[in-house]
Amino acid sequence: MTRFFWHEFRTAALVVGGLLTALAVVLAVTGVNLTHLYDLLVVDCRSAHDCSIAVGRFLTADSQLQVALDVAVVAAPALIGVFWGAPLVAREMERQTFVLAWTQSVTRSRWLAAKLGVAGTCSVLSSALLSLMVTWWFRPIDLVNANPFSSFDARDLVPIGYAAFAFCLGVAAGALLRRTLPAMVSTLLAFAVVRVAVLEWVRPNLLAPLHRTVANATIASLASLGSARASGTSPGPNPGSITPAQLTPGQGGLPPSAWLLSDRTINAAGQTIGHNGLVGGGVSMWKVPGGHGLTIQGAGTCPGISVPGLPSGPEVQACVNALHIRDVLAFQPADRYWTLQGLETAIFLLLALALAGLTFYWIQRRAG
Amino acid sequence: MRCALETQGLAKLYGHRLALADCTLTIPTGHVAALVGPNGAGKTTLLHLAVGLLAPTRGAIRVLGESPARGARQLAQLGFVAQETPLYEDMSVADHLRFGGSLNPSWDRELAERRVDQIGLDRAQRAGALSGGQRAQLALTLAIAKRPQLLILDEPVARLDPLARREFLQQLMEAVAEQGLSVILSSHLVSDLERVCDYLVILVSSRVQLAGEIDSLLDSHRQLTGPRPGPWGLPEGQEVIEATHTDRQSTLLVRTDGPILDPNWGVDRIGLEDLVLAYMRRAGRSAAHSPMASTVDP
Repeated sequence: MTRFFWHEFRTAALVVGGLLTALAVVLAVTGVNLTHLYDLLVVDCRSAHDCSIAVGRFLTADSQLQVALDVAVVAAPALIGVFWGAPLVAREMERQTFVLAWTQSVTRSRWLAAKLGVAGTCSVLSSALLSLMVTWWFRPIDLVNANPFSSFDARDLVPIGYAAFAFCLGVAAGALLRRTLPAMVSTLLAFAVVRVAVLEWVRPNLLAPLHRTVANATIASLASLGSARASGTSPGPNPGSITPAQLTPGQGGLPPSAWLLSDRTINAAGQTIGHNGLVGGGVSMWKVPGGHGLTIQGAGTCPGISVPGLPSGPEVQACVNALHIRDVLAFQPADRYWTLQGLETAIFLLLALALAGLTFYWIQRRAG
Repeated sequence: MRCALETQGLAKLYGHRLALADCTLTIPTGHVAALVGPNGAGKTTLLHLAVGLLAPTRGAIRVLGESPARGARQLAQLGFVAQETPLYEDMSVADHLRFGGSLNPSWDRELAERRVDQIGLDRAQRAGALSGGQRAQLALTLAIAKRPQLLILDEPVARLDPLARREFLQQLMEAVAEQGLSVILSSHLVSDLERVCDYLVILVSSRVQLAGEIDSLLDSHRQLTGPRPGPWGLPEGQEVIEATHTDRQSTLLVRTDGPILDPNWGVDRIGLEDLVLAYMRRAGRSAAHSPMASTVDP
């Protein structure tokens, strides 16, 4: 029976196999170039100590392909769920062919097991191959980028878990809804919701984050930008438009390649006065009348600092230090990357198993 | 005696809708049995219960002496051709034969190939492009080639034109003769069944109105024609199934065990179609008097 379903599935499998092969050729050619470029630009410049230009040039190499590959790896599981998972049972229900299938000499559990086995194996294999190829291709870029968490969803193991989950989600939706199109749509929606939910709420909390308290440099750097702009010395950006991400004390306080989960700004007493190195969503400070002293909201006043004009960077930094304003960083260190990959993959595989079990149950119950 | 189909107080509800209520019937093996009734009588529900596609809400059902389990062995004993003969539209005829071959351990490949040749099906043709008659024939081929003991057909000829209908039934009879199959087929048409069936079950509003071998049913029913009955009434021991009266004359359908000797009546045999229609009309009248719900087991 399994052989029959293989035969039935061969067209879809061949199409995807062909696409993957074509992609493999493209990636092999460009990937070898990329490695060559890496050796040429990055390794060379490291010995010359200034890498910013070389790294910048390197990271923009094949930038369209980079975007396309990331999108492909992220989208592939959803496509598998929608086009392989959802129709698997729904189409049989919709076209009444399950009546034919379920009155052959095979129990419907075995029938479902064979169908699931064939299409599920193809789903997992193709997503594994895709992830493997893309991960290999991105290796030099990821080495330069240095933060493995920035591309967590599109590398290594997790895409396989996503694909297995999306596939089983589609099959279960089809068995429940019994119509192909609604099953496809709800598969896509449910998959997106679960992915985002895991990304937002589950992944950061899978392991208790580490904490580190570092000195605050953000307030001063923002203030110096502001004063520079006000004095017209440089047409810098509007302080309000600077996103916190740019200002996270990443390189300063965080261990290399760690994943920053949160950054609380605290005062000397340890109370939270802001986030991401800022105070109250921006920089709320004002001069003591007369210019002898600076008040920073929530943290207090540093009287010993004289501010003749607009507060400059060093002046603010001195005040920040005097008031003992610091940042508490919560993060996952780089060495937890593989643990987190494994855990998240396991979660999605378990969800996939649960959905498959539900489908078997529904198919049995369809008799009553 | 092993029964092809045996039900006791069988009922099936879809939510609150009653599809089959309190159905009790017996069909012995070795017959080609017709399950006849108007649309909505519960024929399809009964047959789906018999092949295990549905599970009963109440009551018991046994097919070939076993409850229609989902077990593979039980499934292998049944051949089923569903109403509308669902096939995989995108699959070719040859693919369907491979489908049958891989899902049935007892698949008779030679028989299947021979039948496809007989019917004249193009093996490369997609099922979606087949005519209604060809679809029915292909579905019958799939059901027969798994070598079942009991073949269950749900309205197999309802959508076929008269020629295709005759060919289909002829093929069916050949298979029955070759393999010694028991067959249960449902229909709301009687005329075609007369040639192929030897057992009749009339099902109206899920109640069995009449069941038995067709020959003996025809033997035990008579149509009486005579003057409107006066005070002398009918001879003793006759059950009147239906009576129609004109001013002067009455026509009665009676069920009787003995000969009618009363000289007041002209006695005629009755055809199968008239018999079935009379029972359906009678059931329709009694159903009009007593609502359907009253037939449900408490």
